[in-house]
Amino acid sequence: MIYEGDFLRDAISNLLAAGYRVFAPVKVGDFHIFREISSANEADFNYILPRNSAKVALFPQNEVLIEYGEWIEKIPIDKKKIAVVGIRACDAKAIKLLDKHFLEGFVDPYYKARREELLTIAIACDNASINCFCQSFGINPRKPEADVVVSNIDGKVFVSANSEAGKAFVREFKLRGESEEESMIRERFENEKIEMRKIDVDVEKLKKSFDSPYWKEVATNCKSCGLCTYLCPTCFCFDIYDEGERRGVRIRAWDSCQFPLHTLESSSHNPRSEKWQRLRNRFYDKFYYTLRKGDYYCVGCGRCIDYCPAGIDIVNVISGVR
Amino acid sequence: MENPYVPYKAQIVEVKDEVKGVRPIKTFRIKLVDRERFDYKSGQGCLVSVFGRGESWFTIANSPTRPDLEFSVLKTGKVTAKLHEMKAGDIVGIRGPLGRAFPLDEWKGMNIVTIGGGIGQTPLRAIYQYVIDNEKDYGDLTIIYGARTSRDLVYKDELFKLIEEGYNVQLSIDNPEKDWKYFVGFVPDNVKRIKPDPKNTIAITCGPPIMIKITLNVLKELGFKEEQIYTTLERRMKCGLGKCGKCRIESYYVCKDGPVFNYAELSAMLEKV
Repeated sequence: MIYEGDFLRDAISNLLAAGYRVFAPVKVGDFHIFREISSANEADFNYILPRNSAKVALFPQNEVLIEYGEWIEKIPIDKKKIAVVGIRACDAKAIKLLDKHFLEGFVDPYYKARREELLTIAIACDNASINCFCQSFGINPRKPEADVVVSNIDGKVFVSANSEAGKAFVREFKLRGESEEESMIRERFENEKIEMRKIDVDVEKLKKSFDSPYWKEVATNCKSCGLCTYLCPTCFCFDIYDEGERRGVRIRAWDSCQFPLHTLESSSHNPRSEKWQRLRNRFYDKFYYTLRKGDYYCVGCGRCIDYCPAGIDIVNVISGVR
Repeated sequence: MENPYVPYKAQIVEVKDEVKGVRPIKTFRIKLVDRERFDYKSGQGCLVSVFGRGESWFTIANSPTRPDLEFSVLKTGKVTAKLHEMKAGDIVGIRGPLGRAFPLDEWKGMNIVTIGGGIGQTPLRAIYQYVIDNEKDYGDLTIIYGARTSRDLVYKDELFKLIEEGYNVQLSIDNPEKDWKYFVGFVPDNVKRIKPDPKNTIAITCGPPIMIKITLNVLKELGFKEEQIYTTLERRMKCGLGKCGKCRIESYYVCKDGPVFNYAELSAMLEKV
């Protein structure tokens, strides 16, 4: 289907009018970040990848689990509908991975409340950033798995709805059918690979290299800053703590396996006290530990490479395991 | 549990001093308020919640065959310091039961040897109480337990009573003390001395990491196979639900997939415990 006009901006206006909380990329200085917006004008779509991922909409950096006084006073589960607008195929895939984590086994009710009401509107990529490698994981950057997908091809705005929620949403827009030629153009667009980096994951080699001195070399310049885990669209670790002695809130906040306090036990024993052990943990977590449940927890967005202050490059690290 | 992050309201009914001094241990007997105790199995734990301080994981210290819930708490951090100030009648939160229990049903007909050190005796107590309460289902029970000094032994009254009743309880302390009638030396040395027979036997060990490590070697020398040896692991925990990632070893969450592990499972992991 084709839309004559600025679909993303019109979609945001509709969503805001319908009472959705809308998360979209906002230009800040010379980069973009995903954040909640209150008008369509705040959004800007001239980017390949915003600096942070859309996970902030589903799994906020901080949230209150319980408000307490003498005893529990309130459990603030927000049931408001949420839309993320302008995500890429990598972040769309990451949401599916977060779903697996938060909704399988014990169901996380805070995540579930947001997820059930979530509408995802993605933009198809037509080129890659210098550190993109999503195609290595079978992700098609030109065909994101989202409720609604917008592809800008040859000056035309193609819109497709891939779920019931997506179909219901686009019904409110005046979309016209594609001509035979336009469909061909779209299909050709969707099936064309994008030139980008490749990661070579060799699980057998990873298994054999766990005790290799390689991991100490890799970690030489690591600052244990945790930036990689904060920007990662699939990282989900968190801390829970109370603020307020007699009256206050029990908060959940992002945590990072790169921080020594993450695993420090009250007995003072720390199973991962060295930074190389923590860095190794991140790589094995992404490509080996989570694999037992069926997936790599990496979508090839390249953010951890783009912004690592020590220049640690997940593609080189994993491809070069020895 | 509709919202598994929300604790049940519970009341402390009794506080018992187990160990005094700089590393005090108290045992709390706790009753849920306005509801029956949940079903649980020996080896499972709970997150005990003190609003304003946080939550800490404790293994349930008594067998489900006994009344109420008991937790033995070593004073060591924010939550435990507050708990040590609390008295009978005070309110706490309880989330549980959490985690994988000891497979006591699978062990029916077998001999049970528990090997504990210090406060590591807690999960083992939930086992031996269960075995004593279901005596006809199990073979011989051997309780091996030690601490640094006689003052550091937990559940002393209960253990001395079991000795009086004729149970096979083998106590030890690290250094000689006046009037100490039992073994002097480390727990693994006591195991070496007692030589439990591996035939049709399950050994469960819990205590400081170094004690567990040496005990495992001793058990292997005695002919125990990895499948016959169980332990329960300690890790920093927050959510107790396999979500927050803190207690993770490989793809296992100690809070959910453990804390009970078979030694064969542990030795198959890349990351050594």
